Amino acid sequence: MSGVPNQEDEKKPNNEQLAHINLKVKDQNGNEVFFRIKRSTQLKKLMNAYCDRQSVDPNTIVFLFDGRRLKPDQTPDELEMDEADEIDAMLHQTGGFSI
Amino acid sequence: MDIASRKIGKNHRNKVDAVMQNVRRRTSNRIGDRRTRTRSSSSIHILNEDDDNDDNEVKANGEVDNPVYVQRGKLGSNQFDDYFEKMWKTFPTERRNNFTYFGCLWFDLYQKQGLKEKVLNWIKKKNIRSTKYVFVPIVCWGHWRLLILCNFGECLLPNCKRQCMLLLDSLAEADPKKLEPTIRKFITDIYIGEGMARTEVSGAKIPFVVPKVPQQKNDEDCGIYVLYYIYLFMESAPEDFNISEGYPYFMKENWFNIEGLESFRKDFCTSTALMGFEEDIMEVVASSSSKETRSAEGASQIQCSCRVSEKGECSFEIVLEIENGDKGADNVFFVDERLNIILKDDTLEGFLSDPEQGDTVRAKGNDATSLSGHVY
Repeated sequence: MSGVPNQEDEKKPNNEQLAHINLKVKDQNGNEVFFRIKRSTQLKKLMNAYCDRQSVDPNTIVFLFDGRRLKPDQTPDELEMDEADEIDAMLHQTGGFSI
Repeated sequence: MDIASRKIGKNHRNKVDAVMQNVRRRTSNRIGDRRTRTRSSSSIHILNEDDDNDDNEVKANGEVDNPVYVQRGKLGSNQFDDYFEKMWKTFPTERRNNFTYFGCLWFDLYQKQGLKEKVLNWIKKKNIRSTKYVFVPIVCWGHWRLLILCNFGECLLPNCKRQCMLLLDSLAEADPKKLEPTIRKFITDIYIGEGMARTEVSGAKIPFVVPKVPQQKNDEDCGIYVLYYIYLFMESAPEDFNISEGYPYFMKENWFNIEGLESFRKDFCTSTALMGFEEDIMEVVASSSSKETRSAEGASQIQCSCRVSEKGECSFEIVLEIENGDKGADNVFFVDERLNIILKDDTLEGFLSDPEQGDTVRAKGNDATSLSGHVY
């Protein structure tokens, strides 16, 4: 529930600000969902939360940051993400044949 | 999904498939509506973490007891990236410096409304004019092709014409030439992004060539062919590529044989783990700062989704959106295979016997709040 992390936030706002980051996930239609995540947390948490939230199969979505695919085990720290950075949630494509 | 299904027992898979179908049927009507809601309420999700679990989940690649799955079937953009990266790393840095590449979805996204500028910005950061060769994997209309841009850093004047575009297609019947207008538009936009004038680029008439290359033997290998084209091109591309001198060099119908392709497949197109997602059972607390006006009625909406754990167990998740204001949050429930609600925290209790469309779900909180909603 929302209450638990909020209480902690209020106690130590400065540390909290450094440790957390707000990220925006934008889909192909321009819809946005905001996430607050610890900088050291693996981004799969965010990916899973997004897919659950949107009721989409994770296997159909590709998350891109600056055009590069996010890997589930990467963290905001590792990718040097900045506050309010945008992640694109794009439909994954498959190819076999055409016609 | 294929790989995951294989690991999960057949019985389980059938059960899971059936469940997923049910859930999809129930949720499909809701998704569109939900997106709009999300946008209007701008909710923020706070992700709780569980560091201990995370650390355990990260395993070194290539563990001995991990099964290895060789890629068969159609290639998705996720796997394409994985295999590409694996292959890319096998080349020494000085060789790699001659090449760069675009993300495999870029060309597709470039054609989507509203995403063009974004893609062109990503490309700008690639400095394609300082690299001899640029690989542009293209997945379009369910088919993989490879575009290679050669000498794009050179001047565009007619007297020093050395740029060219090569389009490699493992399915010549698919008429690769039909992509030419879109590709030319794409290239012009890229050059404009680099600060050139439109007339200068279109006047340059960069040659667009489609060499005859080995063809796929079935209806699903085009992705592997594209990867293998890249691999072989990186191995043999000359330092000085010039279509007026001896092109197409090595790019011929008999460039490679099926044995070569199969050994490439075994070397690079394998994975040792399930696709990241299935391994991780969701444990997210989604909270909301919804500004919507809440009614006193209490009941609002419930959304079902389903996920499969690593053991192949299936659990429902039901998100209750409550509009009575007291709880003021999206509450996350898990429902086990017997459709009992497993609650995310201890403050609520609930039971759902068999969620059917239109069912009412109730959950009681120990602070005397009571919530209910309908299954969509």
